[in-house]
Amino acid sequence: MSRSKRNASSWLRSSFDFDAFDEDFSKKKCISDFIEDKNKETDFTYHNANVLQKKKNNLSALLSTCAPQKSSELAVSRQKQQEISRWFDNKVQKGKPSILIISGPSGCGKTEALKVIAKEHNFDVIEWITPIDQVTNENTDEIVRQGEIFEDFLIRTTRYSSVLSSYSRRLLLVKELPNTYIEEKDDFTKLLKKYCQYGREPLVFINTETSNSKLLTTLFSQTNRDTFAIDFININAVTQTALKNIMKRVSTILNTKVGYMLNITQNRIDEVLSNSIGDVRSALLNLIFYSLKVEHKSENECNVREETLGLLHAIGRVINPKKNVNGCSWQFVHNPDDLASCFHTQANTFIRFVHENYMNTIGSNLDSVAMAVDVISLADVLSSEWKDNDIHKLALSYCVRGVMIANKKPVSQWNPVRKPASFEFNIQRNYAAAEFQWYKKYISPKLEKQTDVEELSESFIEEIVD
Amino acid sequence: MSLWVDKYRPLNFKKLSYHLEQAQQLKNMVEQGDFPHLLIYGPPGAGKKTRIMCILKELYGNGVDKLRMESMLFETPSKRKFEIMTISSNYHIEVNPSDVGIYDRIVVMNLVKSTAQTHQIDPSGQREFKVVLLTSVDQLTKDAQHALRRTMEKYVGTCRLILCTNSISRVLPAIKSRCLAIRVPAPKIDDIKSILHYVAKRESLNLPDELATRVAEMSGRNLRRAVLMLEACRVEQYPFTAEQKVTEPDWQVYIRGIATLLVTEQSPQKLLEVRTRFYELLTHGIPTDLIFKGLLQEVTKNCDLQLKIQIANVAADYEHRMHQGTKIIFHLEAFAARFMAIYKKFMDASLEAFV
Repeated sequence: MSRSKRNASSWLRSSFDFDAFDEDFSKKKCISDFIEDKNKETDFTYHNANVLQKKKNNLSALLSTCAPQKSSELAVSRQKQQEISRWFDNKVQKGKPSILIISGPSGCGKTEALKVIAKEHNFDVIEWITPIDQVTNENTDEIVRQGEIFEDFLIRTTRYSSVLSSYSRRLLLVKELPNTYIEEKDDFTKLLKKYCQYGREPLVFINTETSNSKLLTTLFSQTNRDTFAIDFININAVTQTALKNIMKRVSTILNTKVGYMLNITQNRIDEVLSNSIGDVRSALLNLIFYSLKVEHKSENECNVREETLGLLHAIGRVINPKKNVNGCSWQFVHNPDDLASCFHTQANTFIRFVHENYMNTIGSNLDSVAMAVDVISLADVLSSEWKDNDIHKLALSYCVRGVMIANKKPVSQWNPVRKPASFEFNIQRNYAAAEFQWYKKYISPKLEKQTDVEELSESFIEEIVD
Repeated sequence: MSLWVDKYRPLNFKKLSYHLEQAQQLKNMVEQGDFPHLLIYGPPGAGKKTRIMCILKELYGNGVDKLRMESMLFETPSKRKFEIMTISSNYHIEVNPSDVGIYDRIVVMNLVKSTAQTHQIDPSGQREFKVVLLTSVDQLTKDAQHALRRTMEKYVGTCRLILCTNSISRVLPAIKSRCLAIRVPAPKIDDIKSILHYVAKRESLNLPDELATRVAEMSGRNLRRAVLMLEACRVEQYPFTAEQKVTEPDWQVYIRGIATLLVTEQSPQKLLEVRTRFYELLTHGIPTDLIFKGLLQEVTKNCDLQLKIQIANVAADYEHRMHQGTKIIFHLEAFAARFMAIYKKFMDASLEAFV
């Protein structure tokens, strides 16, 4: 009897029991949920660290630890923060709809800024996440269109207030739209209209600027923005100084809380900063990954980056091969295969460059020249065989090796690498036509001078007779 | 004002002046009413095209003279559009599919299909088939040739193909066996001479026999070139003299120049110079086999037999590679380099023997 009772208590729980918080429960919850739920707990930091220790390898949780808590910690500039605040103060009225678009490059802190400022204005943020799985209607078993679910979200989410929330007001956040609206612009306009009629709480769209995103021009065209009184705030990429401050703040947080797995030093911060382009998220991820304490490995190995060779640089190495001579055996300083592997995607270009330039350094030995150009010629034949995907790699490797070996005593002098002459390979080569054209060019201008009336009329008659 | 070549092109079998027996056979074949697909081959300037036009004339009468030039638009599966020039009458259509390079397969398939799908309106008065004339068949890609093979079989009822090519060595055996192959050999020197005299007479010019002989010999038994040369002579100087200069195509002079470069000095610097000259030739659209052939002929002029064999071997090698590969310049240069190496070795050896 007692056993069954204990079992029951372990997997049955009163639905109204949400405020009761016990340690068992916390362990079972997913970390990110946990952190979000417990944001308001005063002993947040303590729990957070606790959890991290329990789940050592969960890196995604690390990111949320770094999330800014105050508006002073945001990456977004002060001016833009004020703009968003002003929108909350002036445009948002109780029980009336209002729409805002925040736009900016990825990782500039749009979402975080909104969340933090919304919190300061006592708003609960409800975010739309496009469901990946198809949802079926419980009664009819039919698949519900994503558009309908989205509509539900916009119109009905704010109808009924939640008992769970301690915030006084709520705010809808949409970061990604269901795909249907990309095609159906009119549907989206209708939806916005509907929202303006029935909506009660403010709605914020976050638009990540990418080079090919047309969202702003299609869905949120100027006319749409005017009719629905949509406000628009554009946020720039994070400046280097702001990023620096964030890194400083984050590094102290991370070092104190998860020092057992991360070791962030100023060097590494500087390195990451030098490579970042105003993207907080990627900079942070890089920093965390870079500073991971890896067991049994020297720290240096982590920061050896793959060598990227420029085309001209590689050509230089091919046409001017350096050797390590060791007794009677020798080896190339630069492995031909490594050189070739850098240019697999542009094998033809590389071969053409090699051909244009191999004679620069080959000296006066005709045999080497003949050998090298023979190799190039065969490489061309090989690379023309396109039925197999890998054969052009083979051709490239063959070409690189062959030319390097053929060049026995490279002459080192200053030799600029030349660009191969770009000439149309597809010119139609037709003997008869070429011959005819050439003679015509030769004969016609001279004929025109000599043509007299008699000749003309004669030929004219000829043609008629024929 | 048309050139003499066009002006004096014979338009029916009666007017042909050489290969008369073959002409009679062709005429008989056409009179029979039906014939298989034809594959007409022979060296350039031998009169292949002339004979084809004669066949068409015999088949359809004067209707084939009303020619129109059209550009047809095709689209690849990847939505790339390209145009190709066609010359057509009501009864036939002439096209050179290799004009569009690697897309020739689409041209071959679509063209034959669209021509073959429409029947003649009044089959009683005319032939019940149309003719598709494809030139430079040897330059077609393998793909296109395979496509051709299939379409040939499928549309034999409504359309006859006449294929025209210089050499059948690069035509698929499958196509060769589906066609009646007719070889048009190059005319003899005497044939050319008599034609030159005929042309001169029609133009009422006085042509010395020596000049006719020289032109005929320099033309390399290419009738087209012979007539063109004669006309070039006419604009150069008239009245004709026996010793007057006969204009050759400038690329031949140029190729000869390259050959001299190769023979006089062998060094990488010279090779670079040769390379720029090759580029020059190629950008002017000179056929590559012509370059190879001319070069080989010139450089072997003062070689002994042993060396000739070696060089011809090398040339054959690289010419073959050139056809397989895509970058013509590589192979031309490879041949030049190899020749230089061989020739230099030979010269050094003979110098040593001399000392």
